[in-house]
Amino acid sequence: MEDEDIVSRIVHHITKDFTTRAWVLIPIGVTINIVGGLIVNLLHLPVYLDTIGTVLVAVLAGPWVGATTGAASNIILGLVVRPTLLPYTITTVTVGLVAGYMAKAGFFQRFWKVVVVGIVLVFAATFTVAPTTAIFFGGATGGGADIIRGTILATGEKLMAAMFRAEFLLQPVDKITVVVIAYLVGRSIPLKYRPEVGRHTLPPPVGETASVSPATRPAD
Amino acid sequence: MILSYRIGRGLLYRLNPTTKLVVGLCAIVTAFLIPHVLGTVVFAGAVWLLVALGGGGSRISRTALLIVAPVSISLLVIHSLFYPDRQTVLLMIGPVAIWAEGLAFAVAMISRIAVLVLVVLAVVMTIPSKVLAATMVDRGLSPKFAYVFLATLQMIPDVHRRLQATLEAQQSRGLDVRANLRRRIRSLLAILGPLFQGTLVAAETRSLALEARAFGRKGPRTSMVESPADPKVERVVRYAAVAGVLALIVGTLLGPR
Repeated sequence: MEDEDIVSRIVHHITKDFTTRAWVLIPIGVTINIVGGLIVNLLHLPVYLDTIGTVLVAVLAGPWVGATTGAASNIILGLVVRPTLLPYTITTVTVGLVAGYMAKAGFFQRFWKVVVVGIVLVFAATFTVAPTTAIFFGGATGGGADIIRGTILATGEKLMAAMFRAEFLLQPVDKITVVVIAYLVGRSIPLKYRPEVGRHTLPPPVGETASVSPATRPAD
Repeated sequence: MILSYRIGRGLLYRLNPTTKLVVGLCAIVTAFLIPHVLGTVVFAGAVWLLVALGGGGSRISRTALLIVAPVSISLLVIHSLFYPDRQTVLLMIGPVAIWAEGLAFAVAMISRIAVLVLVVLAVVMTIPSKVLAATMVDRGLSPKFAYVFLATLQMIPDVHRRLQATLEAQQSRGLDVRANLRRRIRSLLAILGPLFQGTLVAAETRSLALEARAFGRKGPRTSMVESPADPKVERVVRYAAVAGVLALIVGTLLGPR
């Protein structure tokens, strides 16, 4: 009986955030991830920014909704754009969970704390991306970052160690930019358009007060 | 470039998508388990031949080549020159040594990636995404995941249009996409802010529309798309493929290293 109770508590903890509005946010988060990637190409910026949607949804709707957004991103993009993205699903799921739980712990309330989230995400991403690149792709992904990976391998590093060093170089700018953008965009969304979770994890937009009267709050 | 279904003929188009997914996954696992370079190359060649003859033809082959080529070039350059466990020089080009172990490793990895790419293409390019989603729901996938899959596919062109409009609006205010890095980062915020807010506010309308159609209710759903037939032969093939891969895994774990 005890065990069943724990299991049902865990299931409840995971599923309670999946309201209809949360489900609607998932495809939007996925498209935001795609757009981030597109704009980076358009503006010729040296980052990826393909996890903005995942972080934003995790903060607005909870860690497991964020993880689902991350998984959906890589699976859908893996199926319709680039199959080589599929193995990196583990990374985007981790990013969603870390951002979501840190948001619940109040890390998206102040700007300097958001930077801390960025730093934690750098580690989370490095520890999942590096082994994936080494095991699934033998150390290359066909993008510009291969120059960095190759250079480190040329110094005589072992494959796995080289991938870790490369990611520690590549991830910081990307992940910190991602969380800052997610924070700025998320904060500017009016309270009444946020899911329940996002009303507590993010500060209210400038000019709005923290509490919304129940009368003006649409049902979730 | 979006990989999408186009009408075609051949075995791949007639198979139940479940069969393609299960057998495909088995093929991917196999590709990563085969220990020797020669084996992986032969296996990748066999997979390619099956896909090409099964109706994939030049369309899938060409797309696969476009995806695999950049990774292959990187892998070949990196590993034939800098492979960590290099021992045997295969060839000297001036002062540059090409290492045999590195070349073998690169070719094995390329074959594995090629199998992964071919399998994905063989699944998604031979079936409309709606039918794929309907089949998955039939197999027990929550209709909510099917919604996420299909809604995203529909939303991509929509958001692309929105992005274009936002970009033009900001350019009319003087946004420069070729300015220095600092200016470009600031333009990034100028584009993303309005774009994401617009999409998120539209989400509100969407969730009300879905709620009015019982999205949150439990229980079975009817679909307007019929999932394809699942003949007995295909079920046997699926079980055989899974059994084969399991045997291979056990063999790899027990066998000599």
